[in-house]
Amino acid sequence: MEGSDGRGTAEADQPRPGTLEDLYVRYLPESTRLAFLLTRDAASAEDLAQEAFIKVAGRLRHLRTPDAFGAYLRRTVVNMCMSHHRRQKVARAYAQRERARVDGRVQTVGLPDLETTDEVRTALAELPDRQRAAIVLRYYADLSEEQIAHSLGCSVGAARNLVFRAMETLRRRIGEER
Amino acid sequence: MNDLEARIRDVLHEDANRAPFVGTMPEQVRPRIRRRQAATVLAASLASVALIAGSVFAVRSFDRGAITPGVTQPTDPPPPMAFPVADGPVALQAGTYLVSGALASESSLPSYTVTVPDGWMSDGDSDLKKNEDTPQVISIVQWALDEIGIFEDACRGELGDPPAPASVAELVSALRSQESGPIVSNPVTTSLGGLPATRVDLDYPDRMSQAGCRVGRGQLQLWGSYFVFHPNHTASLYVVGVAGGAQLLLVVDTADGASAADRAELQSILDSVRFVLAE
Repeated sequence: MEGSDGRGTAEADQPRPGTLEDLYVRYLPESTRLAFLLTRDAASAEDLAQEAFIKVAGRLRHLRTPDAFGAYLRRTVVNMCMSHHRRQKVARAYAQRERARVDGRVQTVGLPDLETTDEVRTALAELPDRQRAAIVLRYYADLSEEQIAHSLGCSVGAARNLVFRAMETLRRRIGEER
Repeated sequence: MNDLEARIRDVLHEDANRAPFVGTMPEQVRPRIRRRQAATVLAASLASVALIAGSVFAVRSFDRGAITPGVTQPTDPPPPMAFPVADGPVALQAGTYLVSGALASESSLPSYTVTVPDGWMSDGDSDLKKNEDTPQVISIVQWALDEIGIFEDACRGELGDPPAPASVAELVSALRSQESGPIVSNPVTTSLGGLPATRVDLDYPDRMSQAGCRVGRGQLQLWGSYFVFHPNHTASLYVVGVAGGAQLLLVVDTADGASAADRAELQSILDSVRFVLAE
């Protein structure tokens, strides 16, 4: 809260509407949950959501529609998570090659920590990154096709196609006949 | 809603509840937002200046051509372009850019011009990158030396606000005493953009490549602002001081897989740096 020492009554601790603290408290928890669903890693989700917030808040006065801060932030979180995924893949491939070199055999690199005992969870985790992002935005964030398209930086048709293909894959893997 | 959609919703909401708790805004966030805001304002101003300078240049070239048609005239070099500031990665057009110190810091970092060949990207800040997300990645990233908090443990990292070095000696000392930190060379005197500089080379410590670190296997967070040092990389740190300004830290990060041609491009970019000093 601006001008606050962070102590005092619960009411006094409420950030003033429109301040950076207010935006942080309003949007960061949801952004972190979104980043967590996309990265499946708590530490990365925390860092990426915070970095995304700094990035968007830094351009706050220059946003065409400042009221849409949440939508800009969501789009930035999704972009950064996609980029994070690509970097992780490169790092994992390197680690895999190194282990193969050291051990003389190739080992597969497991998925990150999240439990994958449930078949839906497993199938979701195995989706291509953009398809999983589309599903998370559709069924977790409850976004419309237009909003999903904005978050993923693609056309509405492409967003619809991503959700469709992801659902096809999920149905096939889970064995649900349609 | 069918059964599968309901199950997907349930799984996603259940998993989202495992996300880290987010409380109030950490102290270090506000100054970083202010830096961004300053950078955005400055970038907009630079874009206007570049546009005006470009128009003047075009008019002058036109006038010259009108006086002696058909004769090749010596031309002034085009004015530097404003470095683009965007939400995400931007493909850079080959040419010379004016990189404002305010893009990296709220300290008074020096601005400089740099000439970039085709194929390079910016991530929307002042960073220059090529082949991002591949084993051939190379990059040049800038910071203010007095704004990078060196973590005590590079493997664990943290969202805290550790102290920043005030000099190259303190930088070297902090990196050398960092738990899980890089291999740090002795500082050597060199030059960058015509100014005296100090260079320190970092090597990835072999013992760490398989370790499960906070942000990924073997990925070391040497300091805040999300700088991650990867297992198959080396880095050169250039520290340049300008009278009355903060010390600029340029980090040249090179993946082992980078080609000789890309390394030569990287060197040509470094060689093209020219600081814009106040009269």
